Amino acid sequence: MIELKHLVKKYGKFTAVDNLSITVKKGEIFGFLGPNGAGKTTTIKIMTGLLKPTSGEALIGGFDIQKDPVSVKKIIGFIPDRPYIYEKLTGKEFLGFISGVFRLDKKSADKKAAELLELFEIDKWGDELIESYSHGMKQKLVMASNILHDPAIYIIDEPMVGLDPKSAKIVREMFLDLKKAGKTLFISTHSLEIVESLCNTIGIIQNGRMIAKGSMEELRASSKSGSSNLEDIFLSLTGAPDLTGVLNYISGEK
Amino acid sequence: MTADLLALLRITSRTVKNSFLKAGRRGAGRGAVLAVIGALFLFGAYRGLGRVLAAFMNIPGVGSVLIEKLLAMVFLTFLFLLLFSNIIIAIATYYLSDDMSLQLSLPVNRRALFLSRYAKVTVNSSWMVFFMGLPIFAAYAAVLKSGLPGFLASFAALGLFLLIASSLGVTLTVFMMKVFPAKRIRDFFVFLSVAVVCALLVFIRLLQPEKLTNPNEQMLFKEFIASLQAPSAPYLPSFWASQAVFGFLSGAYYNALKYLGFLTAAAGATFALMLSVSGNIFLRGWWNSAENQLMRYRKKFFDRIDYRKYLGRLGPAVREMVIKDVLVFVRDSTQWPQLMIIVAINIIYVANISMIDLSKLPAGYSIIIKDVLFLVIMGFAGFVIASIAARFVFSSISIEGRSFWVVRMAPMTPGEFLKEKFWINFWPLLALSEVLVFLSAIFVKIDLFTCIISAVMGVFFSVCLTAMGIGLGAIFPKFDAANTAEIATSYGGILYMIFAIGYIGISEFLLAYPMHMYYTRGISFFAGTESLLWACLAVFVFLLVQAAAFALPMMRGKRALERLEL
Repeated sequence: MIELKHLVKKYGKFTAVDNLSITVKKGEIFGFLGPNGAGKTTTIKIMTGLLKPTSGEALIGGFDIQKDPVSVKKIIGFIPDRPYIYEKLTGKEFLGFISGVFRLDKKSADKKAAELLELFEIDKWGDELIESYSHGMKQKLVMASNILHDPAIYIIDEPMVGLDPKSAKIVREMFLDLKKAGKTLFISTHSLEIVESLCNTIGIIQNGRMIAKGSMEELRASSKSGSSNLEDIFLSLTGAPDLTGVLNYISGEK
Repeated sequence: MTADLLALLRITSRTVKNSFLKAGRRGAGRGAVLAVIGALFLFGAYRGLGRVLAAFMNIPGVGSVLIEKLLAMVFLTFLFLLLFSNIIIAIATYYLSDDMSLQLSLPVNRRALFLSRYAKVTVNSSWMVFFMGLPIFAAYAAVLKSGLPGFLASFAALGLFLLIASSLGVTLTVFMMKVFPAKRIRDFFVFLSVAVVCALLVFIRLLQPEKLTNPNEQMLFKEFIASLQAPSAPYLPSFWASQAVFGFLSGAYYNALKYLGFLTAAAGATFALMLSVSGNIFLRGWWNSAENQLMRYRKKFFDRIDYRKYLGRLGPAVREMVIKDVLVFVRDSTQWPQLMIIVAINIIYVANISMIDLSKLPAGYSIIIKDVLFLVIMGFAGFVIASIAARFVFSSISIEGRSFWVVRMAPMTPGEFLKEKFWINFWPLLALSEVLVFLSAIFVKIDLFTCIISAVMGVFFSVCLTAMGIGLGAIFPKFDAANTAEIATSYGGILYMIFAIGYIGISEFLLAYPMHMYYTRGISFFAGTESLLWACLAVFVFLLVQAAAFALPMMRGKRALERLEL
């Protein structure tokens, strides 16, 4: 369903994504982990056509995002890390806009939109301008807009940022439902708990390179730390921070 | 306070420095292009104004008075422009800026915070006028044979004048944001818009341009001179600035220093007035605007329109894009002053056109005058359309702002997106240009054939200026702009105006000969002569230019959007 082949993205001399290859099968949830600045968002932006790769290709649902972007966009839903959406539209109008550009049947789309607003508990804000929404509410609206057009593939960047615990739980359940419905999910997140509990395959990226890939069991088996905990595996692969200096600084010791 | 102020100003200077560094070679290239264009423009303005001033000076008896009056008009125009741009920029800088919350939460002196923003507003709203001082003062200095000291001293007067305008603009903004309750912040924009129209009417009356060019035949020469010498607005800082500058450049130093003293006192007083609103009054206004974001939305007239009913023929994707664009536009109250600019530009246009009366033209000159008039009217109309298109059409891509990713993720091609943007901008622009042509036809009483040609040219202008605005808007998007005025004055916006003026000039040049043929021979010139061949060739090239002005920017714009990285 998703096939990234030797992706490279360079900004001048800096290489943000370095020969990255990933395959995600239909119905899988792929967890994309990595420290800040590792190249996760850049990879996702290439997959969605927001950035062009320096070399390599990204095939989504069999279509090359560079050569046939419209076919790819028809089958994907994208949830970015920062939900910038039209501030001067109301939540309902934004969903109406999405249903129009995805050419959905208006009557059934309106019904589904109302259900989604209720599911994400923003129905009371449906007629308010988005400029008055909190970050979490905007995030939920973007999620609702994606589910509305029912894509086969979801590409999600940091889904839990700004969500309250209840909403985070709803989102987790939603991911499971999507998996059951045979959807393919590519999730970039810092929430190790989400990755551990939901993902079939996990990829860990650092400095633009894939440093580990496999199922949770495969990662455990290959881990030098010998730990069964994803946090320990992640830290052993990406380097655990030395917190002594920070602690000493806070406590006033040198 | 000084340390805080310096620290805050350092943030701004570093931000500017970093953006230059980030822009790299491409940015340097753009900067060089703009610098060359700017220098050429300033030089052209210097030469053009120099000629006008020299011609005025050759009129015995009134020359000096005329150019003094002209300088007063220039400063009065500057005063209105500055007040307007200071208010718009102050709203964005003090009330809509993202980093204001952070800075307010820091333990920095409030007054320092206020003043650091004041510096930003002053620089952003005044730099253009400051640079315009160069050719104007240089032209006056050349005509009045003033030396370098007089020229440099003029900038002291201009500097004080700029400070007065920015202090007044900021004070008015802060005061109004405090006076209008949070949920009625839109009313402020309505108020501002009405104020602009009123100011414009006052402005036209204060200018009294007819005094310069159209002395009443009954008026005695002495009375005419006296009417010119009477100051139009002696209590406005624009008059003091013009007097100080003219004094420095003409060697009337006593007068110059007297008005420089007025300007200094006024600058001090307005600055003190501004400081008095920089404390709690400003803070309450800021809270008002912050609370406004959280207010419940009340449905307005535009929300009750069933757009889908009227746009049923369009495909669903394009229809929803149109509805989205319309709703975003009408709900964005920062667009309202922009709309008022349209009204303002049109009032000026109509006011000027209405002064022309072909029936009073001297006999024997009618063909030349008709030739010139056709070109002037169409040039003026074209310029009005281009100015409006720079604010609305060119900015229509950039105005998508940080939400542009939504469009990019929609299953539509850049071509479809540009097509939607083209049509939604084309129809209002066409309506406007045809109204302008219609008004010109009524006021100037032009003949039917010229009227038809003007209407057809209006269609071409609308098509091509829209395509150029959309295309260049896609090539030079500015998604991070704080307001639409910033988009229109960006690198791309300036290039758009240059291309638009070039296009209008070329189109007029190509139609000038066929129109001249018509005026000299009437419709019979179609009877077939060698000159008919030239006329046809001119029309053919005209059509080629129109095709190129439409197709090239649209194609380049589409390619630019395909390549665009977010």
